[in-house]
Amino acid sequence: MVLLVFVSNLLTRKVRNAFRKISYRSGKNFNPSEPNEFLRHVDDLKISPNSNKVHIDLWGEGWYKGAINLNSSLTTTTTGIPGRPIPNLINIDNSFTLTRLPLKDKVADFITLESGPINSTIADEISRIIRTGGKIRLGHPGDVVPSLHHLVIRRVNGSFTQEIRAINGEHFTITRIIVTGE
Amino acid sequence: MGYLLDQKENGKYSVFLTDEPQYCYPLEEGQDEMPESLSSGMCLVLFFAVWSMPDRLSIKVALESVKKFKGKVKLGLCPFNDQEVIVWNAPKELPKVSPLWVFYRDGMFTESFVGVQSKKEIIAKLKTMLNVE
Repeated sequence: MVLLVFVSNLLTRKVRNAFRKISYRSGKNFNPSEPNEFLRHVDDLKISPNSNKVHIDLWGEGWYKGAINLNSSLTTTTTGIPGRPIPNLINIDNSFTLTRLPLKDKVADFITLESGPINSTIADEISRIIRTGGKIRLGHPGDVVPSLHHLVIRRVNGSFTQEIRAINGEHFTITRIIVTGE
Repeated sequence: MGYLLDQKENGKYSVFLTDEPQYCYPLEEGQDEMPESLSSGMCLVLFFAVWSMPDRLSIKVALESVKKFKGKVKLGLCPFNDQEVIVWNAPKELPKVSPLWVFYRDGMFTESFVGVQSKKEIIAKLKTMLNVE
């Protein structure tokens, strides 16, 4: 009997994981008018091949495998060939009209935001959805970093480091924040 | 050769070009109407987000591409930051994503496309517009 239950559970898990992999590979998108649909699928989406942590890539286009991409565009513009559907997408308002991200509080273990807009609303939302102990990585052209990255740094309790890289003659600054909580 | 960005007291960004040809025009964020300087002849305007590295790298591609045409094509470089991009004389359904490349002939919108493009692609597009080999 015990053996039967064990085999049954094993098969259920195998089948579920197979479906998750298909969902991940197909780059399933979610209806923006149904944020709850995303919440139901968060367990499916957080399957990254190497991790079970939730990685949110804000304004992401699919650069990070396994990340949940939040973007106002349905297709890529700056990652690889333009015009491809963005995988694992939650379609959100653009930065000018965004009021809230369709995510629960403290849901994210890791947030990346690179070459995308940051304003007060976005900084507030990052602070709301990042978990204690979570990590944030921001990357932008160096000359706009003082006005962008500090919006986020001021809102989360944590420590941060900055690194400057040169890309084709442009300075690109990466800020890494480890959130320590209240 | 190159460009600089400056943020004014009102928060708006403007572009400054250093040692670039006269047919390359630095513009200011949020201009409601097309500048007079761009309203005649063949013109390419790159609308770029100041916070986007791929957009910023596209500036160099745009500058190098128009130089091939030695003044037959004007170039406008228009930044945007926290206000929706205003694309002059454009159809309403134009996608508001960046980098946004918009072509004008005598001030009239002719074509646009979005995304990172290579110099080769921009030159090919401009050749088609100008009907040159």
